[in-house]
Amino acid sequence: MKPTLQQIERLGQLDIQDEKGTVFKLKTLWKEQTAVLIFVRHFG
Amino acid sequence: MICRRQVADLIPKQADFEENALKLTVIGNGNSYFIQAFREDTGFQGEIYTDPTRQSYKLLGFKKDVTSSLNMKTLKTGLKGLIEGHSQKSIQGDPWQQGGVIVITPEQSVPFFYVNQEAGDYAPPNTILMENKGRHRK
Repeated sequence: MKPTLQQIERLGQLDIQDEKGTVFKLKTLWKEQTAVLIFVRHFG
Repeated sequence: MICRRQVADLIPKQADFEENALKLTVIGNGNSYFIQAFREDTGFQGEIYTDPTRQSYKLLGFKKDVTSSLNMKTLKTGLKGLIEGHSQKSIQGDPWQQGGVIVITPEQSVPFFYVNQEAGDYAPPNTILMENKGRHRK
């Protein structure tokens, strides 16, 4: 089931890190452009 | 090996995603210092991030259990990946966690959402492209 708008708003407030460990809010990924987020199982 | 194959499948399609104003981003759940090695191993030049807490995975309802990670089908898929050269190194993240795909617009609508059912199951890049082709502004 597709996430609701409320769930997307909560998702956007969660933190992610880049390879340097810099923390961003997930929302920055789709703030200006449509984002295709591929969630992989692990980095293995 | 399955994750590597999934990301390797994205590489030839990166330009197609860009042409359709779609920002392709990979998110894992291991420690951030494993991102560089994953990038080098897969050759993926797009953005890669990690959510070590896996809160985003939980919020999106992505599966996390043993049976979706280890069964006859996942073993066959893993073997296929191995034969194709996508050998797995040590797992950096939660081995029982499954992933998925979500497409989110700046208006926060979700034109595409896919929950992986088991290891080796993922939305093919062509399917994601077909569902979103020509729909997004640059």
